Amino acid sequence: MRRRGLTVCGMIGLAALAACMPKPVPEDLRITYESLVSRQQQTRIFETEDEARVLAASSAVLQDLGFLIDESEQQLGLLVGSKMRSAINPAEVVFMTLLALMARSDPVYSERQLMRICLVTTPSVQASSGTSVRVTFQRIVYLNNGRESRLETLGTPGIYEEFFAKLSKALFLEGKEL
Amino acid sequence: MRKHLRRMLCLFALGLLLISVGGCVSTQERLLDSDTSQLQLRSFQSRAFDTTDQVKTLRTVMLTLQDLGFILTSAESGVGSVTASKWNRSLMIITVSVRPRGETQMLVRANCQIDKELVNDPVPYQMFFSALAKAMFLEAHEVE
Amino acid sequence: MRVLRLVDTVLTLSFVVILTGCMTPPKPAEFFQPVSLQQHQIKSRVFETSNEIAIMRACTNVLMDNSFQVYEAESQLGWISARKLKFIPLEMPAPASASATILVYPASGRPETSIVRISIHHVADADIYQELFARISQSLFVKAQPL
Repeated sequence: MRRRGLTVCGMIGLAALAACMPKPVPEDLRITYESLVSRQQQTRIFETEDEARVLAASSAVLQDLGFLIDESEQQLGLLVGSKMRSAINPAEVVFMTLLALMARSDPVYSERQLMRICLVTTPSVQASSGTSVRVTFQRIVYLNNGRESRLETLGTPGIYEEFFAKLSKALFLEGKEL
Repeated sequence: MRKHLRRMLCLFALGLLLISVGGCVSTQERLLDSDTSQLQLRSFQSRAFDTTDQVKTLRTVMLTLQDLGFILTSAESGVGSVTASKWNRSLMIITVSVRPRGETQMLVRANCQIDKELVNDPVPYQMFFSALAKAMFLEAHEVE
Repeated sequence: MRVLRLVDTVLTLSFVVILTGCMTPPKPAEFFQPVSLQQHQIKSRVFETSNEIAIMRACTNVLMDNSFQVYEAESQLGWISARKLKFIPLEMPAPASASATILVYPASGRPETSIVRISIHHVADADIYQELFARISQSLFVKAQPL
């Protein structure tokens, strides 16, 4: 009887302790080494304090790239754009059609993709005078039946390099890495 | 039967060859529109107007888009851009930006897409700028 | 034999799809035809005041009276964008959803005068716009005049 009582108390105590312990952060929300590397790749600093000029040039580059502006806010240095493009891969279409034929069902393949860009300018804390520009890319791929197939961040070093090269050209300034 | 199968397989192989030769546009190329000539596009998507009033120009752009039957979906005077859409069997979305050009002009740049295609035909842009120029009572100057 | 013919057809169709690409969309120029002058006149009124903020406030209230929710507004641009998911059928007919845009701008060549343009998607009935302008006018204590 005493033993049972002690066990129950012990379990209550452990439960109370567990409640007080800090809960582990889900993987998605944790700042990892990889996310710091991403931030470095996504950011360049331009030697100018004229944030408005950087934002205007960024807006011009977005239009050059065929993006439509969904949101802009000068006070926050924010630009959000998107564009719809084809996601059709002919080989995938043929392959999925053949598969569907064998399974006697309708073929399903990637049809279009919504590409999104989010750009933020900030007065640089690193450099005494400078404006930092951070850009991220995402896409949502839709199937021919209207359903979403995947949602992913796009971000190879090549993509960022090409983007910042265009922004440098528009600004007549070179973008330095963090 | 064998002859028929062989013929089909040859056609199929030829098809795959065509696909691989034709090539797929990479995600990076689609993301950054690397396959379009941006200088050329920029020249027919842009016009300069002899005014320094950015807000008035933006407002006129908004009225013009409405006159053309577009629904305005976003607008902000700080960055100076307006986005609108119109449904006419397909969905067109257009963004028009207004920025100072030098000391005496405003540069108006429009880019649009229909469904999942960038519009790279100069004619619709000419029609837009013609309507805008009328509304502004100013001439739309071409830019390089 | 039938299966072979079917596979044959599928392969041929696949090649046609690949080689000819997607269906051609409508011509872009078709999107840039102006709306009629009559529609213009139905949707616009002149108010003898240059107080755009007051006009915008009145417009916002009238939109909300009609169950619209304001999504975006910018006073610098004289722009209000609103949407509603369901009409409450009081005086108006009942489509499934509607978006409304209001633009307020100075009348050129007329000092102390502003023009208000209301545009409700898919709504072309003059009486509906008349009703809205009457309410804005009431709220402002300024008469709404035709263009």
